[in-house]
Amino acid sequence: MPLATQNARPPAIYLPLSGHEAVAPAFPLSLEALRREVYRHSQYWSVFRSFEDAQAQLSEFSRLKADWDSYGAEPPNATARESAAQLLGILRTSNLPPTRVVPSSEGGVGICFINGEAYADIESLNSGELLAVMYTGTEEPQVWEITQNEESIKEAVEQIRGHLTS
Amino acid sequence: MFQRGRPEDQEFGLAELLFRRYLRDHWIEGHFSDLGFRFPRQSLNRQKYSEPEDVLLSDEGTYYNGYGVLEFLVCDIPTTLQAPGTRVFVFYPRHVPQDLNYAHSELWCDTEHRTGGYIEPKSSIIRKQLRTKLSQHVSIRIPASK
Repeated sequence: MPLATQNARPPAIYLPLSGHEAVAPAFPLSLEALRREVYRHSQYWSVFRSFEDAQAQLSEFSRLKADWDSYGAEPPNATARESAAQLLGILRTSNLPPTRVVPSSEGGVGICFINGEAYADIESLNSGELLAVMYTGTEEPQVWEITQNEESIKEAVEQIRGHLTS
Repeated sequence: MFQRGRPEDQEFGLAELLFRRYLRDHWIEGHFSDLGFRFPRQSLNRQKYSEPEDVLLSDEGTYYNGYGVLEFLVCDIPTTLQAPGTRVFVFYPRHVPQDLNYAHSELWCDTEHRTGGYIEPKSSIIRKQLRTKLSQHVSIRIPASK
């Protein structure tokens, strides 16, 4: 038998292709959709993403102009932004992701935490002061000043965690 | 809206609404954050002489696009506040009409002895207490999109 005949594909196994066949994708989800799926089911990635968002929100504040709220508010200055960044670092190690980071109309940065009716925030003011508040619904709010050191900040973070989960 | 020579009217009913602009950022999961309030002489429009949407109009006749309007009652303003080691401060709305905005009012504070002037507490704790107590009673009248 000639060699070419011996090497020919058996026609019963490999049918000739027309070129119009639908090809199933190797990965049915786009990479972004896949990432969202992973985040949705993973507590770790969800927390990681919260801190990424918080950091991104904070970095946006350096672009705010005076009167950003239309009532004459000062934009957060470098002191307030740096203090908020330090606070975010402590929150990350304490595994307490904020709900949102917003500029404060009083002049500064606010880091907010919400769980249902329970609300708390830590406000880093342009003056360098750190203030915290927490309340549930219309109950009497608890307001206190936090000393600018890691121990006091961690203590406040734990108080807020307790408030949100009580 | 124009003052047109009308005098101040310091009679505020407890059920009168006060209006203010706000940004969407400060409305978080059903809570209005105290971070959306500023302490000194907070500008407000009073219901007796204005409509809620009037706060979205600037003195230049332009429109504050994307801002929302929030409201709270005069009786929601805490009458007195005191922090440890400070004097007692009283809070009340004051009608401060402007040529182009007769309804313009401000949130004023004074000591309990009522000097009649604007005496601002130095304590940032009292300031935050006030902002928080107001934020707890805020309702959204026109939702913000910005």
